[in-house]
Amino acid sequence: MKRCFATILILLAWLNLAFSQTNIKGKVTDQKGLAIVGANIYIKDSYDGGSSDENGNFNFITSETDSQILEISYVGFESAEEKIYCTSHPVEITIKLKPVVNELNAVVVSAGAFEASDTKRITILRPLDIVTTAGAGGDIYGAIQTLPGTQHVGNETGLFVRGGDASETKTFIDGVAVENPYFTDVPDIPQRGRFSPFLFKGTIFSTGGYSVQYGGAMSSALILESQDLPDRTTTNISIMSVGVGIGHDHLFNNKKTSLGAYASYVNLLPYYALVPQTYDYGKPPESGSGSLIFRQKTSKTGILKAFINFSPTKIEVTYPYSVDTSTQNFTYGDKNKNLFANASYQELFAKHWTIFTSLSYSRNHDDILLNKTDSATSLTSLAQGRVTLSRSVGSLSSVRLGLELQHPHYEDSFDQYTSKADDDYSAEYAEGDIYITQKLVARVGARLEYSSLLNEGNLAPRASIAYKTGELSQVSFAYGQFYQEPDRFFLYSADPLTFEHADHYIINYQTVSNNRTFRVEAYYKTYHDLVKTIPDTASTGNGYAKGVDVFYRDKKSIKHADFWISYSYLDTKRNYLYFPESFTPSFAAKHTLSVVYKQSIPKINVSVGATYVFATGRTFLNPYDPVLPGDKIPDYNNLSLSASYLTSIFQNFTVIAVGVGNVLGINNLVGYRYFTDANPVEVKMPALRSYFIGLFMTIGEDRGDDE
Amino acid sequence: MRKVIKFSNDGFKIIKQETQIDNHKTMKLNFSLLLFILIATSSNAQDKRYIDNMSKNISIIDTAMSAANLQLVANNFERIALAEKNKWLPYYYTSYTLTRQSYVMSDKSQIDNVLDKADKYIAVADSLQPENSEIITVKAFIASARILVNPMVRGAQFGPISGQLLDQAIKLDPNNPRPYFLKGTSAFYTPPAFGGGKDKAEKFFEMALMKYSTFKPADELAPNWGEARTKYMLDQCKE
Repeated sequence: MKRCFATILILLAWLNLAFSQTNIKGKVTDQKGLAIVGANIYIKDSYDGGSSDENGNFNFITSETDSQILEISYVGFESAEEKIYCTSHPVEITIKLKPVVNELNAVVVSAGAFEASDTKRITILRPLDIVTTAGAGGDIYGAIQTLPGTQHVGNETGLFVRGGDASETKTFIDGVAVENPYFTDVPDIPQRGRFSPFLFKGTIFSTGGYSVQYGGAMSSALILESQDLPDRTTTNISIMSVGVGIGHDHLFNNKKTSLGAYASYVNLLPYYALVPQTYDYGKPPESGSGSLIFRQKTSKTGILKAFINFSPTKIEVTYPYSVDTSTQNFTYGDKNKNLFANASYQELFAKHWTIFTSLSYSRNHDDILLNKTDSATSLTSLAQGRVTLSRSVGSLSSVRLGLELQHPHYEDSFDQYTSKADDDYSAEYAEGDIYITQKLVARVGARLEYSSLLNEGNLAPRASIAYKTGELSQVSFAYGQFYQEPDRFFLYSADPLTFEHADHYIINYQTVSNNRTFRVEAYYKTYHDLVKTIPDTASTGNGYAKGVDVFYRDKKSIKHADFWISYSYLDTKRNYLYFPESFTPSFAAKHTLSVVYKQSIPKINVSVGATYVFATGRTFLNPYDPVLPGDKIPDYNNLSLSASYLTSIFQNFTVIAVGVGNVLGINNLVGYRYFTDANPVEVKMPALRSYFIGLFMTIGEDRGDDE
Repeated sequence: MRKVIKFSNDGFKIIKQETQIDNHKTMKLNFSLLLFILIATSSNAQDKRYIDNMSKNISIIDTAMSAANLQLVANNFERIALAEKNKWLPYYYTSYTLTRQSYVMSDKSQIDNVLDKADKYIAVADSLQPENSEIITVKAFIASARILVNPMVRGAQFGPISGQLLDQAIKLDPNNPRPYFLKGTSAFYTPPAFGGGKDKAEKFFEMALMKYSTFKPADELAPNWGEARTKYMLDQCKE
């Protein structure tokens, strides 16, 4: 009897199996109804399932019974779950998958910003692009000058963006403002940036409409984010026509701590002996630089970074023109000492929150000797700190809150006169990136600033919206108010000055794919409360700038080639400083065109590049004949070439690079100077042509090929 | 009543059973034995299903060459992985197949997404079976695949990562031929100026072949791929 019962049991079980097979079929598509090929469709926690075919159809049989969950997954799409009921009746189902919403395919706040980064997958310029741009000389600022919105001002240091002067562009490293990002300024000879592009993993160059996290800049922000931990221990050696450098990065065994030390020495004496220069150098530029870089991973998500750099520079130049009639020439000597130190810490906490803090101290001291007799000193120090808290909301939206404190100290002396000023500057800011849909984002925020020196505060609202018009394209609009303090030399006086102030209106269209980028941006800017020195020093100046920037980059059309074209149209006038009326400033050219071309020849490990720059003549206000339109310099043309060869020397990865600036030898005028009468003195480029040769070797670059 | 039952990997065997018992007891015993067999065969069947499904898919990995076919195989492994949850091999094979797929995909913009998925699954395999030479090898394979998205930019970043992982894989099991095969492959596609070249690649492939000749996979499901490809690549080096 029992045996019988058991037999029945087995039979039942078998029958159960045999009769409970259910056929499940259907189709998987995207939101538009297009077939998804290769999606995985399966009964959760079972082996039963199938893949969709080239028409998106699937068809499989399951022996599972009752209520089950059907799971559908495909790379790039959100997985879907459907409740089904498995009886022996066939189940037919159509599933529409939603694309994964992430920062790669969602709309981004883009008006005004150019991003160069290794961390984002789609970027406009990468750090490597900076060092391989002909004519940039491995300088971050040199490469940035090939982007639209910038001007080629051959006689002054700094970035001149959209009708703004050099002081209107501010550099930030890991959230702290850098007071002296360039080598010390010398009349009529533009200086390069202090910091090597290799220190940074990401660069955002914003030509307007930037986040409330950044203040003190009316036109532009250059936001640099330093490298994280290195992958391995390496030593770098560079030998250049202008000097030598050595660096060592040590990654400790726990892979959580690294310490880097860098030293370099640059002396242009041998180079200037070989290559004719426009000016006489009593002491050709000589500089040293020492840096320490510390990185500590404090947890899976936390990182502490510290960086300190000290660099002394010496230079003495004699100009063939004078500041007055007493001498036929003019000698400018400068000994500069620059210290920059910062530390930052970032960590995630309580699931959705991120805290970012940074502290920095910098000090820049110039010891100036004019005509070898009159001495002057100039000192700037800046202590600052910042805390930003951000919280992510949902998968894309976020809000940020922050506080920034700065204490700058300025001190200038000439002969027996000394001027000093101290400021306490504070800013609080709040901003939200609100994703209304995956295609529509709004960034709204405000920055509240206060300066003890000006005894004044301001509130700067900023807002952007961006809408994705296609898979790769989007339009955006940005509005913002931007304030900065007047130049330090005006802060010494008791004149009742206020913050200088600009309003930005930007409209942008861009289409960005991996290999092609096209963007066009139109802007309108108004300036208010600029410092004016006539009749009295007061915040009564004003101005405007409007224009169109176009950028196209293509890495696809020509094999192994990469090129970009930037065009800027700029119409700007301002009534400030000593201007008798509204006038186009000397740093603004109406049309600027840059073409950068790079071709690599993999067979012989060589890449060659060319950069061509064209700018229409800039106008100079003649103080002895202040009638519009002023004196105009001729159009500017410059073609630079570069080549690099990749090889290994004693098994070490080595790059040999050569470059020639202004290869055609066009004797460009870069400016006029006025001394005693209406006849201007012509300012030429510091050298007709420039040459560069360098060897860069990395020791310990284990590419996994050693045995 | 005395019975001796010995368990082994593939179910159980009754070694010895004493029969001096009454009828009623026999009936009772028979019934419980029957139930036991039922349960045992069903778990045995589950094992068999796992082994059958895995072997079937492993046998087609080497012949699947197109992105579409590799996707199918990856899907099959993924289903096994998600149903089994505690076995590292299905995760390992899902990841390996996805990485293979990334090399032959026509839509380059999806490569990183596919590799992100491969990364996710190999991390699960790693947590189930830590310090395993084969798993570390696939991690290196994924890092090498990332380079293809943008060799100029990514070579310097992922090349060394892949190299370090392969060194680690060799350290964990010096007899594993696959890290040598991958080292050979990356040397083959790296220009001599960057420390690669056919000469270097050839040495790695020869080393790999030597290891393949003595390599015995732990069981029928254990990783055992790459030998045919090594021979093919070695021929390419000699050309």
